[in-house]
Amino acid sequence: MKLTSQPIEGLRIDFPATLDAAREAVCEIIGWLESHHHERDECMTWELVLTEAATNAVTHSPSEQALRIEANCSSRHTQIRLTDHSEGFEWPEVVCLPKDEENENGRGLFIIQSLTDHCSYLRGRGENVLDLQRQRKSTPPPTEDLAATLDLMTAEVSSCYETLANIFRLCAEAARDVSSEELASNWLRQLLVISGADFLALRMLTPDGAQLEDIATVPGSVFSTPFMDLNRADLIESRAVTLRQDQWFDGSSAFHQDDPLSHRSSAISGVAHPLEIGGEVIGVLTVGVCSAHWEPKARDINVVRSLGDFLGTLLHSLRRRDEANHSRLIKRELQIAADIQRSLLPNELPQSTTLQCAGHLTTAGEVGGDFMDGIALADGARLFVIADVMGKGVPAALFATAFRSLLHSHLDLAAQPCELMNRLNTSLFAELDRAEMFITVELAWISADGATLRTCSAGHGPLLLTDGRQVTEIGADGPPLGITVDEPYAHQEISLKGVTHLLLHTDGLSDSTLPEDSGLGRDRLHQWLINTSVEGIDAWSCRDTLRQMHHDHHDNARAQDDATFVILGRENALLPSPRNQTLTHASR
Amino acid sequence: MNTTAITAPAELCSTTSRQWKERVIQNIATPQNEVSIDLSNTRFIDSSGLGVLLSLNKTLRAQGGILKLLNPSNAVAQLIELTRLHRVFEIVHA
Repeated sequence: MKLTSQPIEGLRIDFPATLDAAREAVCEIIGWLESHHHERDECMTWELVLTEAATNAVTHSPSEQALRIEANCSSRHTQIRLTDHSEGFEWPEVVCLPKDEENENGRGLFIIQSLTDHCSYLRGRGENVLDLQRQRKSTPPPTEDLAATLDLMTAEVSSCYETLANIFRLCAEAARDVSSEELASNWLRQLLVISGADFLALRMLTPDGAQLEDIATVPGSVFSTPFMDLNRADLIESRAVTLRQDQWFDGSSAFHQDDPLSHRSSAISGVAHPLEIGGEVIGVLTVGVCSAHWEPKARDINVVRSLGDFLGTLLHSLRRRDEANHSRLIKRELQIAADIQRSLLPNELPQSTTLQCAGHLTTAGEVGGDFMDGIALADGARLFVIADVMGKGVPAALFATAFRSLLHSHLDLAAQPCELMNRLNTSLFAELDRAEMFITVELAWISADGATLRTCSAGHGPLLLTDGRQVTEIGADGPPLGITVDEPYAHQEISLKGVTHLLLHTDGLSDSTLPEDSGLGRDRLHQWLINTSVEGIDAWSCRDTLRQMHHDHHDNARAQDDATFVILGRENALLPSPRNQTLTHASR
Repeated sequence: MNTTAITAPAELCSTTSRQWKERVIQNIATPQNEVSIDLSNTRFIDSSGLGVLLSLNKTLRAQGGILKLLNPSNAVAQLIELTRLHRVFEIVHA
């Protein structure tokens, strides 16, 4: 006998209107109930109810009309409907046992109604439906495949062990002197084998957090792109980092043409996994296969995620360590350069019976571009030099060093400052030009009797003279060193009769980073110089006062330039100079 | 005294009861004082099966005999009780 059955949400069986077919259909329904965890006595009750109902339907149905049984159940409830095509009958309002106890028939409806919680008979034209419902005796136990669960747990433990073992190896390798990129490449290759993937790409955030930098890809440079903008939401890996969520892709994904994942000609699928440390995203690890569809095992994807997270954390720490080491190295180099530059300054400025001098140099960084010197020449004359190399730091200090060496090797030209300046420019021009730098210089030669000044300037600020009534500015004569060799320098010769004080300085002294009304500007400097002359203050006291004024008027935190000055006094020259205090040096 | 013991089938329902009844009728063609139907192997019985038992009971009583039901299973006994037939049949638990 062939029954037609098909799975719906429950079970539906169509069967011919015969008692044997009905019995077979009922047995199939009971088997289905057993498979849905109905208890044995529940199944026996349903077997009796359905047999009564099916027998009744078959008995009254024409033989050519099929009948249908439909069964479904939830955790609490079972419903079975029987459909026939007989003329049907009137379901009695009260279903009773036969009055004659020994009557052989008439108990079927009573049995059906007694053993169900709900029973209704819907009589229609050519189709009648008997709807039967019962509460389930108990909630079915959860279906658990213990063997499968054990397999999963074993795989999970195995995965954890493998991950842990790999982390130990990774730590050991990181302790060796290996670069971050080499470490990443080695481990991506190993991860490729462990995960069964076809490719891996590791990108880390740049220090400014604006881009993803390609650290390593395996194999080769399949998906390599040096940098990837983080604000590109249309790039899968950028999106994974921005959203902090795994981004899955497969053969149906539409890659943007700029997306490195689109560079592969064949279909790919995989996942871009953001790497985080302490709630901060640090990069992304992309893993996948060369196939349009990929269903990695949970174990494999867990290993990739765990090792990826750890590798990212390790690389991040190594980078921080490298940056800290680099910073310490730079600081140490700057300190050495600063020591060298300081050693180039004279210990003391040369004093004479006709001239007091005091100087001060403040550097904005560890190493500045300002330079000063005071040289006692063989004939008793003095040469004072103040210079400012464009920029600051190590390059400026290197040029300041070269400048000093040249200066001291051409002191025979000191009495002719213009000649000396020409020589300095000729010697330094090529290097300055190549480095696109320049130096402003003020040379001031004062005769042995202190009566005559010859000064030559290469783009430097004015030298100031005062006689107590006014300040005279001796302005720039030529371009800074390193600009041109076609323009010879000239010097001015000035009688110092009546002049009490001279001030050579770099622009860092008078340039203020504060608003104009609060800075040590040109007018304030002139007024101070006149007052100094009037009050007959010695050079060393002048230096200390000017230094304090500069400090008070400049915002140290914002000061960008070095500040250097030399002050010469022609009064009180017979006063003894303070020992070891003619030149001071400070760093901001 | 004529006594006959008959074993009922595992399923006594609409598809089996008619044939079984005919066999039993043949067995009790001669007047019987007592017929025992062994129900110990009968796991399922429906209203058709009950009808057959009632019919046999009538026939025997008409002959002056008696029908006894031996060792029905719990399920069968519950059905007999549900349909109040425990008042009709003599049920014997051995």
